[in-house]
Parts: sequence; structure tokens; C-alpha cells
Amino acid sequence: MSNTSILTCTNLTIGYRNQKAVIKEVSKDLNLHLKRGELVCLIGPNGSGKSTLIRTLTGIQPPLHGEVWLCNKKIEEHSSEEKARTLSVVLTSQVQAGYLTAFDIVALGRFPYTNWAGRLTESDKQIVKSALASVGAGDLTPRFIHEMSDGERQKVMIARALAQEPELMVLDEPTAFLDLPHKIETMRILRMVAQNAGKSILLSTHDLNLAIRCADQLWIINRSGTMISGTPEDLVLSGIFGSAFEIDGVHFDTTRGEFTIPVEKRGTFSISAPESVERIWTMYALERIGFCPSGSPDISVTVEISGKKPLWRVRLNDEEKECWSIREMVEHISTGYRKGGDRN
Amino acid sequence: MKLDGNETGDSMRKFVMAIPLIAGILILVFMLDLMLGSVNIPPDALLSILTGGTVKETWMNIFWDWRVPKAMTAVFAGGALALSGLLMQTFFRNPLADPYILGISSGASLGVAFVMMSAGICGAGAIFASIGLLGDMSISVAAILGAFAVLLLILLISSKIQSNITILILGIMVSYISGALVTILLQFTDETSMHMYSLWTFGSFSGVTWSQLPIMAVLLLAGFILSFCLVKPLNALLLGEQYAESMGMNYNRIRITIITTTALMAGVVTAFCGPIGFLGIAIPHFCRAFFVTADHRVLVPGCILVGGIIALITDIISRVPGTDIVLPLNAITALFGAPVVIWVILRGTKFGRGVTT
Amino acid sequence: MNQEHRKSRIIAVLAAALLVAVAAAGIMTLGHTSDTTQINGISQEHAGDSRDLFPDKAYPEYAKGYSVEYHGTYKVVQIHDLLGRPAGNHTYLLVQRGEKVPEGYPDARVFFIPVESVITLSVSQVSHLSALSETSAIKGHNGIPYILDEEFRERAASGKIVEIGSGTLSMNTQLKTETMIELDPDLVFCNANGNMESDNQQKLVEAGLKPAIASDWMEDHPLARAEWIKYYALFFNKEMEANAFFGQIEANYTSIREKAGSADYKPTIFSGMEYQGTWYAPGGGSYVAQLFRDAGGDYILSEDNGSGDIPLDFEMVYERAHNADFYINVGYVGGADDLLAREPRYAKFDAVKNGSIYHFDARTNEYGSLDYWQSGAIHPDIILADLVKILHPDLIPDHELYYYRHVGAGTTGDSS
Repeated sequence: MSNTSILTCTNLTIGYRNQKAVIKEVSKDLNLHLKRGELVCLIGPNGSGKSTLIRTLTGIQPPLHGEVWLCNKKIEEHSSEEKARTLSVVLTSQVQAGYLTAFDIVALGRFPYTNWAGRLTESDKQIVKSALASVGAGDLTPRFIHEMSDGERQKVMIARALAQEPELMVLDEPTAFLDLPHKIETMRILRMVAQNAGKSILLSTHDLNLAIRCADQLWIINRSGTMISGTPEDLVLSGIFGSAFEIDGVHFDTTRGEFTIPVEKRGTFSISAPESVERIWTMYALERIGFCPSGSPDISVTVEISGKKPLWRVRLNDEEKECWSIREMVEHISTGYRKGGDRN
Repeated sequence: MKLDGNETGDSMRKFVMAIPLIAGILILVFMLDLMLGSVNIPPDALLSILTGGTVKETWMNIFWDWRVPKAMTAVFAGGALALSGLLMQTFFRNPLADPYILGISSGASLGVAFVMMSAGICGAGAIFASIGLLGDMSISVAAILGAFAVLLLILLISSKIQSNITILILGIMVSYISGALVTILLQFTDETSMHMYSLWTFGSFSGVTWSQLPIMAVLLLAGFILSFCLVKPLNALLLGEQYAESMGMNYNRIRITIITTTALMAGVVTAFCGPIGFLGIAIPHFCRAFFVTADHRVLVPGCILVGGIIALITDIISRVPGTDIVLPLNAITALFGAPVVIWVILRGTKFGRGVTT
Repeated sequence: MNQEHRKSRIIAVLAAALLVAVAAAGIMTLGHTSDTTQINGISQEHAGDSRDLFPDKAYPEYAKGYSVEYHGTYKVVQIHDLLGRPAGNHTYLLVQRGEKVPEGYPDARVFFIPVESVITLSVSQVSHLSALSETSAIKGHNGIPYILDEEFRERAASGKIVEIGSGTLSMNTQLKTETMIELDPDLVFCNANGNMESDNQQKLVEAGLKPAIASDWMEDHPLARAEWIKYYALFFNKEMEANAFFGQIEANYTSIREKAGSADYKPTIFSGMEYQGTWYAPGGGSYVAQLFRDAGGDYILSEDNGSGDIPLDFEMVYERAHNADFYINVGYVGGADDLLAREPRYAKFDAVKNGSIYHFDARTNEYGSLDYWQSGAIHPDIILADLVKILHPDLIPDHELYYYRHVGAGTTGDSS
């Protein structure tokens, strides 16, 4: 296939039309592309229209204007069976089915391919098993879905979407209910699926930190419906994160690639330590308690890592103390620092 | 019943293996229903009847004209009610749904009440009742028309409104309205008609004669076949409407099919046997728990078989074998069904979301 | 662990609540029953008054639903609830107009006799009053279109009898209480039906009316039903007419019964109606069974002594009654074709094949009301004669069927 674009929209305007023909435009003039094997994260605050966009792109909701193309064919021209073989979804809502095993659920993904009775051929069964394996849920196969944890359930739903053998998988906030390790694992699975299986993936998320690291493209939509797209790194460098997302006081740290919580400045420090993790994390800790690096510091910290254990020498108020952990250091500084009150 | 092995539809395979056993039980209970009754026919006489030997004429008549149609009605009706209940529970994702949740039986009851009681009011129903051919069918026809009217109403509304909750509430309201109209009819009718109507509400498998049985059987078989065709979409619906559509299912078409199939089965059973409750709500739960699966490829045939078995058992009990007394069928189905529902609900807390919601 | 504790606590609370509710209900019913009047209250002789204003006295011999004592200037009537419920027993004081109401009957309802205006609520009451020539006392009735009595219809047509119900035969009739109050009757004859909830009495009392219970239709013996004419007569001081009337009925009935008893062969009879596989038959202790017995018939299905309709299994009835001679009292039916159309299995009964089917709807009107229940209530002798005519036609050649109709065989012929 010459054209690797899986999902494209041109001049798309999304929104609602209710019965009185009143139109609410959510976002307009969208021109987006999603290529084969790409993982795209759709980011935006609540109410910005993420769900509307996803519904329009998956053909559930008609656009107000413009077109959506799925595999080089207008989405409304796909028969529902064709569409099902091209596009599969994973939704946020918890599936509440009882007495279905993981296998049963994933087997449902074969719906567009099985006969009227839903009978699974040998190859169908293989596909189901490998889908479960690729999300690392092989051991979940015989277990009932209502007895699984949220994380396990989510894996099963992703496996189901995989078993549907689509070109494109669309996930609506798939990590919303998961804890951090599971969030990361989900993203890892998706990345792997995109790379190894060559699937295209579109997922909406709130988790900016993860999205920046995992996505090939970011589509960012803000409250007024404006959409910006690009690779994460380009977007970070363009400074867009500062303006698109900053709420009062919350600041996007370009270096670290994440949002930081600003802390009231209490003073300055200088650090003398070899290039090491200890140095980096000592600096993080000092910043956390309100100190920033400066040439004329109030405090100076020396980190020695040559001995058996790392040692922190803290110098403040013309006194020096030895601390054997960052916690000791922090406690010492917090209680000891009183130079002229808060400097600001 | 924990599944071992990670193979496919283990539940499917286990079910297929269990079919002979279940079918065996069905046949056994069927025979029992034929054997037990208020008239004591000894087993050797029964054997003679079946093998074409000669027996007392009354016993022959009782067997062929009373017991056989009754047992066959029970089998069909039990299966139909169980299936309708299953369809409604899956469709509405509500474990308390029963075949009548759309108001089908209320519509049927209204039709029956109208025919029975308008004789006492303005003579209109009497016209119905004395139409020769329809004679014994007039009640059944009225019930089917009533059920059909409700079905049309529901389909009309559901074509305009997407939400299933709305349809659910609509069905319940239709039940209330029909009930109110029946009460008004009861207010004005004479004692005999009122008595007959109240007898009708007891429910019975014994009212179906050989002339009516083929019609009922054919209609219900149609319902069974439709249900089999719905197995795949029903499974998809377990994940919810959105997932089902994303898998290529045409939701509107399936919705109409499910509603119509339910109305067909519930309406026909009500028409011929009166409004029989509890079987529709209890048997799907029983099957889900017994076969340990929510897969409709197992549940559809399972409900038909188990429905037949349970219906036969309730019929046997209501005959109170050995005595002259007959208990109202609906009382027996309630006594069976209510504990099952209670058990399911209580189990639900232990098994987490073990109940389809 | 916590779950278990909580569960058992909830169960304990629910059980306690249930106990309290049951106890409360028990106390309330007890309280209710303490309102009842004494059964067979002791009368107090009115000291020194030896007048007897009621030279003619009528006492019930067959009827069990009431009893009467005469005390010179007043009569004490005790209503005995035929279902044995204490709350259904009442005491009435029938005091001659102008006389003093005697002391000693605290819970009795007082009526001043002879009454001049009454309201009737059921069809048999009209027939009893008509036999006493007191149709003119009726000012209001529940269900006027259903009455067949000629004099009644004329009076109703000229507005002298007012409709006070909904005009239907429904047992749940809402009575037009205001109209009844306006008519200002001396009493309202009402039923003590089996259902305390829809019993009209309480509403009537609250409306300031005076209900007098008439349970003639609940008696088990046909003569007992007719004998209630003596009860009605108490209110009009027409005991002499009642005694005469009933004496004649009793004599007729007895002679017919004796004639029937002389027959050698007792034809077998079955009765009742099948519905959806259950057969509802009159019990062996019912008045229908009594009539069958007195008419020289053998009523199958009569082993029990119940007086109501008993639900029997259809197949059992078939087995026992399939070769019975007669099928009498068939429930709601137009003709045999209707019967068969409704339930083809009726055709398996010999009596149906032979057309030996009889029902008491020979005398009816356009509303379907049956004279069997109206004038038939006071003429059990004619009903008995009808039955004997059916069962032993040669014993009673001059009598033509009056209430009963020969339903006959179907036109569809025998099937199987």
C-alpha cells in the first residue's frame, strides 16, 4: 500500500447538532494524519472535546463539516463489518459482564470474522491466544472477568481489541482507572503493539508525562477547541506546553519534560559533587524545599560518594554538619536555615 | 465450578457433554408429568398405552387428551419463558428483567379482560366469545392482539428513542396503564366474568387442547429459532452497546429482533397459558450459575432445556399428585422462583459482579 | 468478621420488626372483635309489661343465619354469621313504633317497625319483599335493570324506585351514598359477603344509614334460603303472610321430594365448570348438592362437605363423571356448541354426547340476569320440580320446566 496514512481528517469540524438545529461547534478546521505503526496521544483538558473528536473519528458521530478518511476510504462509506475489521476500540467504561472468561471476552473480538453462530475456527483460537500473550495476560485466560482487578481487566480489553485485527486501535482514556505501574505497563504494551504488530494506535489521555515519552505524535486540543499536532519533542521545544496547559502557578519544566509544582523560594544553594545520581537527586531535594542554585549561595552542600556510604556535608550559618542521608540533610536545613527570613 | 485448562469455551465443551444428561432429565420429568396426576394410572397401564395395547377407555382419554398436551405445553412454555427472560436480561443488562418487562403480558391481560368482561358490560365481547371457530381461541386471540399492540407501541417508541432505560420505563408504565384499565373493567363487570378473569390469572398448562397445541408450538419454535440466530449479537451485547457496534453489529436491527422475539414468545405463552410469572426471571439466573457462563451459545439451549424441566416440575407440584386438589400454577412458580432470585442476589455479593448487570 | 456481625444484627432487627407488626395486627383484631355483640344475648324482661303486640310469630326452622325472640313490644333478632366469624354476628332490636326502646342491649341496632321505606341491594331481597307484597316499600335498589319482577319494573319506570348503585351486577359496586341518604330509608338490606373489606356495612353506618343484614343466599339448604321470608316479614309485622307463604313452599317441596325419593334409580349428575384444566364444582354441602339429592339424583363429586366451589383436577372429574347421566348447572354458556368450542374435551363426557345438559337460564332478560336467582330464591319447590322433571320425568308429568332449559346436544356432533 503506497499511502501509509491510516486515519486522516480534512477540514473537519466536529460538534453537536441537536433537534432544534442548533449547532455547537467543538472544534473546527482539523487536518490530522495518523500513519501506520504510529502511536498518537490525544491530550486535552476535560470538556475540550476529546471524546467528541474520538467519536467523530470512529464514525459514531457525524461531523458537522469536512471528512474523515479511514484507510483511504471515507468512513461513512465503510460497511459496518468493514469498519469493524479496520478499527477497534477500547473504552473507559468498566465492562460488567459476569461469568465470562478472559478467553471468552477476547474471542468476542473475532466477531467480524466468525459465522452467524460465532463459532471459532482453529485459527481464530490461535489469534485469541496470541492476543492474550502479547498483552502479557496469558495466565488470565481461564479466569472470570468479574474476578479480575482493574489492571487485569484492561489488559483483557486491549487483547480483545487486538484480536479484532484492526489497522487502527482507538482507546478512550484507557489508563484512567489504573495505578501508576499499570499505567506504564499499558503504555508499554501499546507501544510494543504499534512497533511489532504494525498497528496504528490513537489514545486519549490525561497523562501528559507518559504521553510525551511514549507517543509518536501528540494531538493537543485546548479548551477553545484549537488543535496543535506534532512530535512531542518539537512541541516541548516550541514552548507550547507553557501556554497550552499552564494553570495558575503550575509550570512546565522544559528540561525535565514535566510539570512541576512551584515552591516558594527560601534561599539559594551551591553544590559540589561528582556527576552522579546522588548529585541530581540532591539538587531535586534542595529545589523541593525551596532552594535554587546560585553563585552566591546561602547554603553549600558537598556530596562525597567515595566512601562506603554517601555523605552529605551541609554548610549553613557558618557551621558544617555531616548527614548520612538526604533526609537528614533536609531536616537539618529546614530547622537550621533562618537567614533573614524568606528571601524573595 | 472452576475451569481448568486454558482452552476455549471450556464452558461450551462442558455444556455439550452435559447435554445428554440434561436431555435425559427432561425426558424423565416429562414421563413423570405424564404419569402423575389426580387420577392414579398404574405404570403398567401407561406402558400399555404407549405400546398401543388396550387399556380402560377413560385412561386412554386422560392420557392422550389431558396429560400429553399438558406436558408438551409445559415444555414449550417453560423454554419460551426462560428464553424471553434471558433475552431481556441481556438486552437491558438488568438481572431483574423478566419476559414481561416490556408490558407484553399486561397488554395480553388487557385483551383477555376486555373480551371476558365486556360481555358483562355491553355485550361486545360476547360477540367474540360466540364466534364459532374462534370459540376456544377467542381468549388466546385477544391476548395475542393485546400483546401485539404493546409490541407495536414499544417498537415505535424505540425507533425514536435510543436509550434503553427509556424503553424499560415505558414498558413498566404500559403495565401500570393496562393494569389500571383492567381494574376499571373489573369495576363494571359481573361476578362471573370477574371470577373467570381471576381464574385466568392463575396460569395453567392444562388449558391447551390438541387443536391449539400445533399453533402454539409452531409460534414458539419460531421464537426458539430466532433466539438461536441471536446468540452471537447477544454475546456482543454483554460488553455493552458501544462495543457491540464497534464490532460491526447493527444495533438497531438487533434491538428490534430481540424485542420482537421476546414479544412473540412471551405473548404466545400468555395467550395460551395465562400470565405465568417467575420462570422467566429465575431460570436464566439458574442456568448462568449452573453452567458457569454467560455465553449465550450455552445459555440459549440451556434455558430451553432447563426451562422445560422446571416448568414440568412446577406442573407436577401444582397437580398435588394423589389428591384431588389443584393449586394455582402461578403460586407454585413464585414459590420456586422467588428463592432462586434471592439466592442469586445474595450470591452476587459473594461473587462480585457475578450477575449480568 | 464484621460482615457477619452486621448481617446477624440486621436479621435480628428485621425479625423484631416482624414480631411487632404481627403483635399489633393481633391486638387490632382483638380490639375489633370486642366490639361484637353478644351471641344469644340475654333479654331483660320489661318489668310489668305483659302486652303482646305481635300475635303472629315466625321462627326459622331451616335457616341458620338468624334467630328471633319476641318480647311483647319488641323483637330481638340475632344475626349468626354463616361463616363463623365473630365480627359478623349482630343483634337487632325491632321495636314497635311508639314503644320504648328496652334497656340491656347496648350493642344492638334499633329499628322501628313496621318499616315503611327500605333500600335493597340484591336481587333475592326484592323477590322476598315482593312475596310479602312490600315491593312498594322499596325506595332504592342497586342494579335496577336486572330485576325481572313486573311490579318492581313498573314502579322503577315511574321513578318510584331510584337507582343507588352503578347499575351493574359487580360486587364491587360503589353505592351512591348521597342518593341513599336523600331517600332516607328506614333501613338498608345488605349482604354480609365473604369479603370484610368490600362489605358495605361500615360505609352505610358511617353515612348514618341503618343496614340490616340478609344472608339468605349464604344458606346451604334451599328451603333455608326461602325461609328468610320470615326474617324480612319481621320488619313489616307480616309474620302471618310469611308463615303462609313459606308453609306452602315447604309443603310443595316436601311432597315433591318424597315423590322423587320413591324412584328406584338415582341418575348420576355432575355439575360445575371447567376452566383451564381445573374443574370448579359445587361442594357436597352446598345447596345445589342438596337440591340434587332431594330431586332423587346422585351427585358425583359430592364426597366433601364443603359448601363452596371446589377446584378439582379436570382429568379426575373426567374419570369419575364421564359416564354420568346428566350435566346440570354448567356455568356460563350459550349453547352446547359454545361449550364445545370453549373446551373440546367436554365432548368426551357421555352426558354431553347425549345432549343431557341442563342449565337454569330459561328465564332471563336482555342483561343476562336470571330469574333463577330472583323468584327462584323463594320458590325452591319449583326448582326442585324442574330437577325432578329432568331426572324422573314420568314422576311429575304435569310440570313444565320453568327455570331450567335443556341445553341439548351440539350441532357439531360427537368428536372421538
